[in-house]
Amino acid sequence: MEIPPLCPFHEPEYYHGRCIGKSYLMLLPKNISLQSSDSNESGPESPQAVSGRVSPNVQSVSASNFEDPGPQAPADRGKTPPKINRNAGVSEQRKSRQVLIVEDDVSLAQFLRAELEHHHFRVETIHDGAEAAKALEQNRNYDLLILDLNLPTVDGIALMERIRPHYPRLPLLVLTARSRVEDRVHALERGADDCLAKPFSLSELMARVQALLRRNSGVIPNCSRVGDLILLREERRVERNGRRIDLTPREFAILEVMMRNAGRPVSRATLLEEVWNLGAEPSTNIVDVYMKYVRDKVDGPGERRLTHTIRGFGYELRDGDA
Amino acid sequence: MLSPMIATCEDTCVDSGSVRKFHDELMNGLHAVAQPLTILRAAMEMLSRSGAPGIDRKHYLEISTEQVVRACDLFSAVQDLVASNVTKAQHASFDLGEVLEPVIEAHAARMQARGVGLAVVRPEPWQKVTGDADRTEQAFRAMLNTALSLASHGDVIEIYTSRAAEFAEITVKHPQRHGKGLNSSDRLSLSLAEVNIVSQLGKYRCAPDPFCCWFALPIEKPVQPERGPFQVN
Repeated sequence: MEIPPLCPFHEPEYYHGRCIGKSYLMLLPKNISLQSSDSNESGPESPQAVSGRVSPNVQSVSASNFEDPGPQAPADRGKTPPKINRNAGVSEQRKSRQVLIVEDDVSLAQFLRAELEHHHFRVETIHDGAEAAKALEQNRNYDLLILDLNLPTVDGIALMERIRPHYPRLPLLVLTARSRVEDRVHALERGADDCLAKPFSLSELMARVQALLRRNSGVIPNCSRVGDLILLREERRVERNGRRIDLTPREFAILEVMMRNAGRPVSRATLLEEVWNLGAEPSTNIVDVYMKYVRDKVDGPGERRLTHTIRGFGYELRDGDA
Repeated sequence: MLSPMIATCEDTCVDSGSVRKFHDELMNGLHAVAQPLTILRAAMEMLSRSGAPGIDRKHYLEISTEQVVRACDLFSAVQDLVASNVTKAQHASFDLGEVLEPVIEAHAARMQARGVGLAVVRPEPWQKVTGDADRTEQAFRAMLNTALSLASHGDVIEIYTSRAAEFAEITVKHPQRHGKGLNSSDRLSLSLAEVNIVSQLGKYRCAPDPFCCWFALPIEKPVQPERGPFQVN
């Protein structure tokens, strides 16, 4: 017998041979709008049920508290503003940490999300390797990646190999149900910073997350330099060629983000999110307005230009026109 | 945990490819089981901190209950996977309708509760096929479970039955593209479906997106009246 192709067959009479008689039963929902759009994930493995806990009040980090920003972030990723107020509350510090969970099991991903949110992290969940690669390639600024190895479409190891060159310092915690030492070694060799075997303890996961973030949080030096421009974070001081530059808190925040990403384009959306804590807002030109203020102060008359506009994208701080 | 199972399979599986496949399927099955166990362990951990403020015991108890049920289902699937790999299937005649109808009925209610439609094209009458009734039921149930896990509210899952040559064919289809890969639970279900069909000399095919799973079992040959040596036409 020839095995039929797996093609759509809207006309059953014509689908591999003839139907043996035909009785048609349709059981359609009476009211489609009754269930949420996530209903495909409900049922016995309902993530809604899993993540149903009401999170405690989470302090939002608004533009107004940017002057006392949260934690430091690695120099090459430029996610969070510099840590100036070392007495900032723990929850406020954690709130600005963004975690990406890539886990194919919806229930587990939602459970971890709820727990991390409960600890004041901002969390995004993706259930598929290809989707995760896409999200990471879109210049998203995550502070930590929690990655399951056994993923559909692109597996965890392949995903690590793909993203590592672009995110060399992104803390990466691998979750795996493969308990063999070789599997964990393999994951660590391919780019994981840490490895946790399922079923793991929640407190151990939290401790490892904290350790990875802590390990990664000391990498911003107090002083950043681009050409003859110097920014001192602790002192909140900016100088160029011995000339003191007075910046407002917002302008300082913009320049600090630019310094952390020196030599790389920074999108308007990134600046909007990092400095104003706002999502993408295409209608606003607030970034351009403030960037002009910064540029006017940084690139003085007769000085070499350090701030460059990247048309249609954002800005770049670099020494020289190349 | 795997070694004794693999050893048993080595005795019954015909080639090293089958052993390797069984090994991969078991690994995937254990991976699937690890998910609810992880949630369960975490939930129990939170419950054990009974004195700590802000712990919503009811929430974690509900989670624990759900995940215990889920873990049991997955363990049962792994157990069935092992059993189907290491024991021989029966080859007896059975009515396909008697095996599949109760499964369709049970799933119709579950689907309706989830806002998912079900369209069934039934034969009149159902065919009698040769194979293993229990394995057929298990395979069909696994296919429907996978289709349901991939379905969203408002989707319709389709079941078709047809006949081609000497085979009765069953197709379970979720025609909408869901854009998701199969997770380890889905893969476990489909491994179970495949081994249950293939082990009874049936034919099996599956595509993940849009989901379409097809199997065929040999139709029972009608019994020819015996002709004695002195029979006169």
